[in-house]
Amino acid sequence: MKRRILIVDDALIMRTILKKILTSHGYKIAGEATNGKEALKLYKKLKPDVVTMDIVMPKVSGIQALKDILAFDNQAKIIVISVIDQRKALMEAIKAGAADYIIKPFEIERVISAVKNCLGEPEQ
Amino acid sequence: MEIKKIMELVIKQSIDRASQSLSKIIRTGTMIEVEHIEVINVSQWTEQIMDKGEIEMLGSMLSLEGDFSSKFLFLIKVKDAFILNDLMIRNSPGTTTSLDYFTKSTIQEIGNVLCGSIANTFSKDFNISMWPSVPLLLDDYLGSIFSNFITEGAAADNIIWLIETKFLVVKVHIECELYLILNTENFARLQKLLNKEGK
Repeated sequence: MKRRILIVDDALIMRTILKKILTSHGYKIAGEATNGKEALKLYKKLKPDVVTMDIVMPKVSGIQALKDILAFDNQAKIIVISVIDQRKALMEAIKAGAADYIIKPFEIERVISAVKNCLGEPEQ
Repeated sequence: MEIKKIMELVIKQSIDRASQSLSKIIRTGTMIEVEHIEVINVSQWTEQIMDKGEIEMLGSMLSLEGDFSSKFLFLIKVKDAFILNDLMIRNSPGTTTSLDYFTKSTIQEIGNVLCGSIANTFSKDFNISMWPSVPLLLDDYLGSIFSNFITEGAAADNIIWLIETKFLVVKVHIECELYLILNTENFARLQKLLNKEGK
């Protein structure tokens, strides 16, 4: 069965690019959210295997959504994908429970490797 | 060190990073050049921009928050935004022909990545904590976009530091612009932060 991924990013272009990358590597898109509030709602409804999460988003930030999702399900696997390449943001995400932290713009291989790692799939 | 020299150093470093990020995201070489770093009078400059006429542009405007708050604007002509959108989604240039939500999102995100690169340079190389806000897309005539940008970024004393850059996307010959407004009230703080870092 295909593993299901929830994409959370306020930018349509980023959601589209991630969708293309993930589906071409055999993953199924469980859903898409445009802010942290929607992310929590969709996580509860869809129970995806992995979440990709932007940080700076309207309404509820990615870090807050990360905490909210992990409060609901402490086994949730969340990969943060952000333009912010700063120690403070990285530490905050890791402390909040992020499984990985990817900097935009990213390489396709980096995204796939993070997802595989979260799912315990072997890297080829 | 004189504040203008400090700014040139920080900005050039930031722009180099932004250029690398843009090249990576569109997989095409880009060259970004800093044209001016200067103190301007807001009222006079707004008048000059208004005189440039009615060109339809797309802008991605962000606030940089943290130790050194400022305003950022990425600006591109609508017809050139189509090409940038094609490059971003790996289509042949010329495929996008209308201004849809998708193209707007591309410009918004490119602004986000460029602004993020600048914030990261300030943070990593100069230990000045900065982070970008959610980008705001501006789809309007040049004069209106600038008016909005200046109003958002202007300091109370009507004087701002403006960094103007032009960049060229090599393969397809499109030009875009990037502006940064630095609030003069922050300069003393910047100098203090950099002096502290230099010790």
